[in-house]
Amino acid sequence: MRNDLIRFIFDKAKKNKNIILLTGDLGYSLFDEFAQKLPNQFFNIGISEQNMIAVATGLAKEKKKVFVYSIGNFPSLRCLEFIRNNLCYHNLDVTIISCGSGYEYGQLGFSHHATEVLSVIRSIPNISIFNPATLKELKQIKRKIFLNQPKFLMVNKNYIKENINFHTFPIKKKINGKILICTTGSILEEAMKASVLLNKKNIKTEIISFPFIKPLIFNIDFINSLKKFNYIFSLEENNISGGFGELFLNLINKNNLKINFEIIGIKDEFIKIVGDKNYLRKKARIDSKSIISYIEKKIKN
Amino acid sequence: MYKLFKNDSINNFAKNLRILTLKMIYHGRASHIASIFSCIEIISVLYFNHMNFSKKNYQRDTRDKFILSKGHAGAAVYAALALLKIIPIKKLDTYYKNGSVFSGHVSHYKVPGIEYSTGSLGSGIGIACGVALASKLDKKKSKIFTLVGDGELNEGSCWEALLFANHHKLNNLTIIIDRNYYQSILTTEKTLKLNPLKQKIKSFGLDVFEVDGNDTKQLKDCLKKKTTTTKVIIANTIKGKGVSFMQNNIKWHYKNPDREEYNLALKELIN
Ligand SMILES: Cc1ncc(C[n+]2csc(CCOP(=O)(O)OP(=O)(O)O)c2C)c(N)n1
Repeated sequence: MRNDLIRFIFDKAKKNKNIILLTGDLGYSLFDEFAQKLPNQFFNIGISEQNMIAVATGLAKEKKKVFVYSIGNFPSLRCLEFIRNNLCYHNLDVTIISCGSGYEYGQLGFSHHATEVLSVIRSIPNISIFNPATLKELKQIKRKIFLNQPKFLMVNKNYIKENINFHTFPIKKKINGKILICTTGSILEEAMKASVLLNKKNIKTEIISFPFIKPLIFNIDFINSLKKFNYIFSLEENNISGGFGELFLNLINKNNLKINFEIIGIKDEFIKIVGDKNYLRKKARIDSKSIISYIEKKIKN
Repeated sequence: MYKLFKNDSINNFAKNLRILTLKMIYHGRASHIASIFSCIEIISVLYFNHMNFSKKNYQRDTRDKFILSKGHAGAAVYAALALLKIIPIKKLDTYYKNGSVFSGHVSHYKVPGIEYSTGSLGSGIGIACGVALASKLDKKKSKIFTLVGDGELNEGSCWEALLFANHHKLNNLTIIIDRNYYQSILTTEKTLKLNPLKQKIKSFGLDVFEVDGNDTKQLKDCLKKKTTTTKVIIANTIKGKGVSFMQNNIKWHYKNPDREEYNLALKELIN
């Protein structure tokens, strides 16, 4: 996914010299062609995320379309106030590309677990948040990536394979079932695994994936389709505090929906043990098995 | 199980560190071997010779304290603690694996002897300043050491901390810069020019020394020097030092050795 995105930006940049790409000393070999063919549009800013955002701000102020690249928490938490005061307050055309959502860089340790980014970035005005999981979702985002405003885009190295049916928000056709899982980003794969098993047990489960989580607006058709489900679960690879589930809950409340709703996400604590993505998802109880047990417990009650 | 050299000299300690860390990186399928090899002599001199830090006293408040700011070289510190018998050497086998406490970036959680967890570059000097200041306020004898990468000095937070260190004349603090001239994609000079580094740091008022950072004798002598303010040692090193095909080849910042490369590297380290 990440490579496709950079290739896409490169192709656009060849035709538009106002497109500029910055990296914070990350993405080894990823930018070789870009740097070689468009040396005036690519800069390795060094390991200095605050300065990268500052430079992006200045460039965007002069009407450049800027993309900045780094991983995990570095292009968000590390330089948060710069994002708020400079990019967002001045509403500038900068897209922050953050590679490695949730536990993607698991074994590297706690510093590399991007498990609060969504909550934190979500709380800043003016910035849009994209969290795609699949090839199709990235395609949808490519259409919005040139909007003239701050954007935060979470990507991973690989796409999630679309091996079962699920819907991507905004949805067009009518859906119904007993259980609905609303998910964002690559944790979609755990929802899909869970849904296959639940469907086998005759618990009809639908999934909606949300590649756009800010701004998120529910239209009347969608609200009506939500009413048809007995239970709705939100799922995220992010801290429950201020995350996707709470955002969803706000929308439910705002629309006066009487729905049986539960948030599945990472508890408000650090996982200190070492592990890869799959291992840490299990520990955090956001893997497919845990999802099934949440759902079965809820149905029983 | 582990064929190691006898831990009776600084040079053997360093050799053992390279062997152990190579094994950890290989079996854990991890990165950063070149960043680790670059600072093996620095870690060795600190833990084997210089610091007041041993199995006997490492829990006492009077110990010397080391903060690894370039957290991606964590394996070197875990291995040094194993050679000091503070952690069982066998446990290193779990490095980077599911259920382990040894993450790629240095982590103190349930690892006795690790002072502090890092991983986001640019934090170590400031934290070491805080520890050093507290130590002074409490009139403790502990000396504080921190190791930073040269690329890491891209981060402005490092320079804020240098201002602070000098302002408070933290002469109980030693900052060692692993000057291997590489960072993550290119050389430091091609990414964000650092030179003349010595003059820059000197202009902050700090006491700066330059040594061959892969030479244990030079490091030892320099560490012994007394200063009135914070000591900064620019340790000129070779990224990937010790394995010919890894030296000064940026690919080894990331690459995990395959079986053949691992055997070749081990052969060079054992001989
Ligand atoms: C804040 C932050 N940004 C980026 C990174 C990713 N990163 C890890 S190691 C590294 C290069 C470090 O270079 P240097 O400090 O020279 O250390 P070396 O590995 O060469 O010893 C980078 C960019 C990080 N860990 N933290």
